Amino acid sequence: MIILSVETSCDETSVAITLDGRTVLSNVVLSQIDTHTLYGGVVPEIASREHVKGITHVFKKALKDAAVTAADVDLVAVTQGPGLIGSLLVGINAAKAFAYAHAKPIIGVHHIVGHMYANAINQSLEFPLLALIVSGGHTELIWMPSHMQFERLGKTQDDAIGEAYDKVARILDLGYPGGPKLDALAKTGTARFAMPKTQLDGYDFSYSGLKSHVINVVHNMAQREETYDPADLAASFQKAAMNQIFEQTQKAIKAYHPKRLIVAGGVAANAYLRAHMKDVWDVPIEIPAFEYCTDNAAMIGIAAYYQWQASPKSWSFDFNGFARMDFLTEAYNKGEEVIR
Amino acid sequence: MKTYLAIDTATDTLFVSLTVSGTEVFLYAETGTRDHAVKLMPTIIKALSDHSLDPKHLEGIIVGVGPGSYTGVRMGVVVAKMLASEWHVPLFEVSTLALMASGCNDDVCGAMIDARNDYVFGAVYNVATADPVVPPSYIEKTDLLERFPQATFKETLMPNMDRLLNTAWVKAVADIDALTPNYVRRTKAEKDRHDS
Ligand SMILES: [Zn+2]
Repeated sequence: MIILSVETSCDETSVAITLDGRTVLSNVVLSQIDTHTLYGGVVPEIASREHVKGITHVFKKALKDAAVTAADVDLVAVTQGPGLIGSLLVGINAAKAFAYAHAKPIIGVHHIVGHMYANAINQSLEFPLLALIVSGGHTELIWMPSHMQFERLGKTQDDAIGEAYDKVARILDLGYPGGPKLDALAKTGTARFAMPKTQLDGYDFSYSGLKSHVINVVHNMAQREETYDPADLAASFQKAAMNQIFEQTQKAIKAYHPKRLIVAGGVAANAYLRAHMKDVWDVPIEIPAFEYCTDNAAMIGIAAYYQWQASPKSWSFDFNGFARMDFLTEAYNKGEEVIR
Repeated sequence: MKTYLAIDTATDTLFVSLTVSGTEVFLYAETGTRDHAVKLMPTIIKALSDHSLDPKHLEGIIVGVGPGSYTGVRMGVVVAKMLASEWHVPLFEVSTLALMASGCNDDVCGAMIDARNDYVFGAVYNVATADPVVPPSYIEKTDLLERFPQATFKETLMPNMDRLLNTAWVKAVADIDALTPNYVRRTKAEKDRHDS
């Protein structure tokens, strides 16, 4: 089964061609990073405008790179949400028009489900599994007994981990994108600053206390006109942020005994996480290749394959995009069309 | 044989029209529903399927490129770009304000779309030639009205397809991939960056 998938939920215009929920034939990602760097972060209206500029070209390039024609496509899949609504609607309308033009079925896919299924590229998922989702919008532990079955064990009570990284990067004036820059800087520093340890219930996470602490440290040192190495502060923050991920996830591994832990989301690209995870987590770990951690359409095509297996019927052309959207609904678990 | 699909999603009117051999056979122009994302594709599909029109018989797709609602106009433009690309059908662009003004029968006609804070997206056209006397602009409403006290200003979208197809209102898009809406205004972030 050949799937053409579309992902425009934030600032990457991406179209991919995937085969049988496993092989990536092409994955074109038109990044807007240079544009948003000018503004120190993603400007939603500019992101939407850039998507319109690139969208038809990216469709054509994805087909060409995969050496596939539109007629070969069996299914069109598109990120329905969550994300920036203006950006999502560009991809959704483009995908609908393409599907209609070639009389193909179409389905919407949840962005985070896409991130999880990035781990099924070139391999099979082993169930039951525990999924750790770490991104700019999510910090969650999800239990998956089988394909397309999701049960949330824990989530952040306030900021997402990627959001905390971006805010701390901003305080340290590291530029955009903040997370990867903070990760790179931390590598050169020593974690010599004491960081608070948040008391957490169950498998939940919390990052606002840690973030506020870093802000206070910076302000207090500025007031006392003390100099410090920002790399040390970055290293201290990173160690504390990741320890929370390591500990809460390990707690869930011990209680649930998954066959695999899969890590997903933009923060899965973090070098510190990748370097230390095998020492902490006592279970075989899957983590996507670097290029499939950040937003890309290939992961949407892989997820779409399994969603189609669960419910092989085209959605009608009136489905909408949603800025906020939960995938832990009965409808989504059954692979059915999400109306709201 | 004038056979065109026309789309505009820049205002709170969702406009889809199908003209077959010079006769408008399908018209959808509903105002105020604010659900273009939901209705756009189903309405296009209905237009073509009701008349069993094979897309390869289209002489062109005409799309309103704004100004108007940013999120709204993008949907029509993206759908038009994609359909024209995939069906290999010529694409034509027209200002949303020109689409509005085309429905007016005076010699000089204006069109305006509320842009908040006493401003409008406005334009004024010589109807016979389709020449813009004032091109699409972001302009103070009172300013526009004072400059053209005699002109009729259209504020809703009800184009005259016959006039659009027989005079110079629409223009061919040479590079379909490159077409973007005519937002008229830069984003606030771009403006702030430019001003600083
Ligand atoms: Zn993402």
